[in-house]
Amino acid sequence: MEHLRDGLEDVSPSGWDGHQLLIAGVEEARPAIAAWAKAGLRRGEKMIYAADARHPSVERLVASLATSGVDVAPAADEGQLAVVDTARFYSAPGYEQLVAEALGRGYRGVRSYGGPHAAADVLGPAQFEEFERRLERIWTTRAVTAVCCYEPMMVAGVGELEQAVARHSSGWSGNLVHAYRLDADRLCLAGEIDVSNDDLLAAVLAAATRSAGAELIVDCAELGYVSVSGWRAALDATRPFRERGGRVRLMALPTTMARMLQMIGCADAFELEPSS
Amino acid sequence: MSAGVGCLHDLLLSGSDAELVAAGWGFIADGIAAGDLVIVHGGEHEVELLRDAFDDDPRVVFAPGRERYQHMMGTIGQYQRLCERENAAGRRVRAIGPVPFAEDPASRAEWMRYEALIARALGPYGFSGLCHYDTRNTPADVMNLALATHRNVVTAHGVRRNDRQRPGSELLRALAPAHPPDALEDAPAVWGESDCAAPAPVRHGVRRALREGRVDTDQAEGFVAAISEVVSNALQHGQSPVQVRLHTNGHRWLCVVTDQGPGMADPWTGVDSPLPTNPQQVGTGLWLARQLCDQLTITTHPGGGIRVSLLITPAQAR
Repeated sequence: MEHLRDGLEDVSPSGWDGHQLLIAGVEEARPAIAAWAKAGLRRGEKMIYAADARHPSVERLVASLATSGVDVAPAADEGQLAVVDTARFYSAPGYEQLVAEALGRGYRGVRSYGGPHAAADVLGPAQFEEFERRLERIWTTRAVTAVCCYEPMMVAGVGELEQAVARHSSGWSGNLVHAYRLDADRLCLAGEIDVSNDDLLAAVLAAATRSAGAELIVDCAELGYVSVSGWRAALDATRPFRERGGRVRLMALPTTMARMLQMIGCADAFELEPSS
Repeated sequence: MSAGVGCLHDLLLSGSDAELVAAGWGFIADGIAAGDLVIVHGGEHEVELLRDAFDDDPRVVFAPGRERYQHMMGTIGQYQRLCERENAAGRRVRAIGPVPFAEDPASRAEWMRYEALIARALGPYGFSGLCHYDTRNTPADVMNLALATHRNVVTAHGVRRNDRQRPGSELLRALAPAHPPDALEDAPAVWGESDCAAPAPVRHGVRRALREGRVDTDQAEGFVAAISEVVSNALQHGQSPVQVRLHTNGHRWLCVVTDQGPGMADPWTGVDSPLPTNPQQVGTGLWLARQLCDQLTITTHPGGGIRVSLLITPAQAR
């Protein structure tokens, strides 16, 4: 048994597809951004970053990724990596033009990185929400994936985290944890859950159960730890769904966690399929 | 059938095989008649005696061996979960057998605490325990403790009220470990953090140290989870700095978590059941942590500050 993970280093590349929410401060965002960039490089996709304080230029971006152990210097030289002025990135035809240009140059796909912080200078809150809705549409119709980085402070208010989660349908990550959707009924959880991020788990499960059919399948093979508070959050968030007759199946839950779940008397709420 | 709430904790004294069967008979027969879940546990010889006496009645669980009695909080947690399930189905749980006192003073003290705690821990449940002590080989200190912790004394001659029983709270105070010095702490820590801000770095540090120490993964993850819960508690309810130290001598692993908060007035926090049946709302983290390590001790400094120590002796090192 060797599935003890510290964090997110091994999330499968497809886990970063689609329209993703990342909740992280400057430091915590690093591993997720690195993993996301690695997936893009491997696939030969064009990567477009909205300029922000973290990476105002390509040079700064290359340096920042280098500290996370990802070498993007050659890709930057070839133009695979670009940092774009926020005014253009967040303008109505601007983003679509950037995507069309990249695809026109033969890139297999486009991934973009931005967020409300970067957008704040050029878009009001309502306009930003509209932009998020466009991203939500564009990734389903074109080969575009987008990560939107929200600082934790931006989702600290009542209901704000739930709203931010609901605006992104493909994946959600935060400190230590990454969750992503495989399809309407299937969710993958990777990383670790404890008091620092159980609210994100709750918001993700609540959103996932709202769109699931009779059954929500949660793949837990990449899960390294869940605290008591995490299981409680999972229980509460899925309760309305379970009370309507919905089933929550935990696939490949590592045995130590299955034992803990059983010990705290929460195992009956879920259907457990042991890891093989 | 009715589970009947309340924990009944009685003492069976016997000086021979015949006395054991005569004294235990009524307890088991009453359980069968009431439709209770009846468990007969303990040494091979004693369990077989009672099995024969009841002609291997299929309504009774005969469980020779120590499986249910590996370590005291694990046993308490198991009974709480069993009662939670059986009581919900309308069945009372009834268990007859010995408490596994050993020569080793630390283990003996743990099981003395068990005897003093069980009535409190199973208080919200329908549970009857009849603890068997053999008058031929029970040491005096253990016998005194046994007489202090049980309501009735059952012998081959009948049942009588135990007039030597003492209030549980008083006993628990006497049995509460003082700030227990452990020689392990004299050695430098193999891992430590002097001002924790979050539980994750603690998990990662401890996990790496245990891996390097070749501790079995399952046991290591249980210990990591226990420590993580204790650290989360300290961060939420205690006062910074929260300090963690991990010590080992290659056989035993000791983790000490301290914070500067006022501490817990009750050193038995984490013994009461957090499962739904208990009408009192109590936390789950410490309760689980107590079951995931071999021993968890809470001590409060008179001048303020709290110290939680967690100990495991991994299987292969035993």
